[in-house]
Amino acid sequence: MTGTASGAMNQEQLQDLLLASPGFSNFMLELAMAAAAGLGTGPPVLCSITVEREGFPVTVASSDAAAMVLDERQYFFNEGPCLTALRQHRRVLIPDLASSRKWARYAWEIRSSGVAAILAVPVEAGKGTAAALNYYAFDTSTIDDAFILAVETLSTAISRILQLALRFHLPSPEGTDFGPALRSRALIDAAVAVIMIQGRCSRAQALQMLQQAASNENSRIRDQAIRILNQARRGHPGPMM
Amino acid sequence: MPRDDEDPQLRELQRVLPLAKLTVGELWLKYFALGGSAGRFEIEAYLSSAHLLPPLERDLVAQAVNEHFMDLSVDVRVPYSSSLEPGEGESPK
Repeated sequence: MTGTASGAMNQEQLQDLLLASPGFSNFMLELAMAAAAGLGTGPPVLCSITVEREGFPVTVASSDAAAMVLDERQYFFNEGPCLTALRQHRRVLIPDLASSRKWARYAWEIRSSGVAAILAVPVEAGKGTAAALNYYAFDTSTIDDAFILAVETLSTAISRILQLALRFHLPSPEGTDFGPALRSRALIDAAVAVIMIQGRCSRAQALQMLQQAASNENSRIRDQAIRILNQARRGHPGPMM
Repeated sequence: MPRDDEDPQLRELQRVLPLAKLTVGELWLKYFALGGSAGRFEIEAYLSSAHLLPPLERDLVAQAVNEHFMDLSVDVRVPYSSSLEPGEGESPK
């Protein structure tokens, strides 16, 4: 590899190279989960991201160990709302698990968890890979229309981060440390997703708000992004930074 | 495609860029890290007045240079479009 940051490298090639850093995928997925856990103002929900490659599903990130357990019950029986969402590439909503006939077996399996409603939304994850964002709520009123819309917005927003995070088996370019740049970018993308959801605005508008906040304070965009993410995470403790 | 040289933001950027001692590739990487969407060659063309960028992308280039000056503790800042074009009404609010 002779290319460097100053060479003739396009954005996609660079992003590929950025994935060399070993802890990188976890870092980005944690950001995505932080953004996901900050959705809405209602009661807390559990969330996770499932990725399936070659018929083998795995939870790549979760807001909570409980979310991972709920996912794994589905993998064990090879069926469930998140597997349906990612395999059939469609949204699956179970507004009231207790009265669902279709999902009666899964409901029985997880009856001790207290989960009352489930939403699974597919995430575009690139060739040969399927992914879904899963939400588990403890009452039947949490997942309303606004919540669904927010999750679908987030699903689009994290698609790129997820695809990058999943492609980490790439050789490191010699002498160039791209890690800080992509970490910064991942933070800012996650904060932009939060602003888009909360402010119902476009990516450009959200990014402009971050940039203007930074310029007003003569500060860094990254610091503004961290502030936004920390606000979004209030009440949702999880591993991050 | 050549453009007019009346853009004060770009003029100031071109004036202070030598102080930053950044290659185009390094500047582009910093700009990308801040969320910038334009490719490296677009940035290079913008810096040589051969390509127009939307205000947000121009401001992100300015921000990237300014954050680099913060790193260097150099008290120089490239202006943002909001400070140059008052009342343009492009705010998302």
